[in-house]
Amino acid sequence: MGSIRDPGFGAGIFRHSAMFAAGMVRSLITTIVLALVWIAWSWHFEPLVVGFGVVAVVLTVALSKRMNILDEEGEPFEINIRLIRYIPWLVIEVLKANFQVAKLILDPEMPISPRLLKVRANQRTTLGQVIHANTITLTPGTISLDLRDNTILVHALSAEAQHQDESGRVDEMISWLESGLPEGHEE
Amino acid sequence: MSVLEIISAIFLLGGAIFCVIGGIGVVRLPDFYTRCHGAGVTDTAGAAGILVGLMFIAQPLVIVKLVTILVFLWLTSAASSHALGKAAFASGLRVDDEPIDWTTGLSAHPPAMSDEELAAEESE
Repeated sequence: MGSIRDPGFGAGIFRHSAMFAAGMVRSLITTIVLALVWIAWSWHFEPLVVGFGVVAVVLTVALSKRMNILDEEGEPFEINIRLIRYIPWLVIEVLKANFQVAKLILDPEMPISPRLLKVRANQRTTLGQVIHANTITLTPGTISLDLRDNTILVHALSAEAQHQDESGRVDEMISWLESGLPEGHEE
Repeated sequence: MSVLEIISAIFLLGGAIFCVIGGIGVVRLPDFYTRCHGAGVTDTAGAAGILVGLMFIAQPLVIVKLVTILVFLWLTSAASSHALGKAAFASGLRVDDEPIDWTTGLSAHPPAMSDEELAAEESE
């Protein structure tokens, strides 16, 4: 889809250079993360092993760059800072849902009421919608089966699980998370 | 036993209990989709409990690796649950949204056609 507004020639140049800068930041962050992973995994500091690491990291970043997978979906550094709030929220949601499902399973009468429901995904980017669907799947008691036309098809185990998804709290949280992403330029 | 070992033991026990609950869920729940929910308990709370429990008695460098394992487990278990559910849904497995008699795994409502009627229809 992309933006239909024509920002004009100068703005085009500016946008191009801004994208170039963002691309450099993405390469830089990937390099740092890969280097840290290499060090944490090997914990050897002999010149030979570190040299292998440098070669591996540079090759990986260069190839990723060539394959054009270091884009705002592959390395969305813009939302990294927001993960600090999202991850604790996610852990608490998952734990709450786990206790709910555990209670249902251990109940002698097992009062489940499986159902299908449609949850609206109001995220503007594909990445945001995928995060939304994965968040729903990760909380036990709900599984996302399909995602199309901004709607997630969800299988829920009980009415409680349904209300949890339909309340829109998840949708709000993911919308806030993805609001850090730049304006999408997908087709 | 030091304090860290006791905290670790509590987390390990909690994780193990959630793993067992997930297993019971997979056995007790009536159909494919609901069993996915049971497996989800083992994937998330069970794995998290055991890995967090191990983090309390591990070396600093090992903690980094345990955190990474937890992150990848949570990322991939969501993706695989979705793939499983979507594959079942796409190949036409019916989703029961009517009450289910869990002792037999069958729908609590009588079928629209009896077995004899179905056999008669097939032979025609």
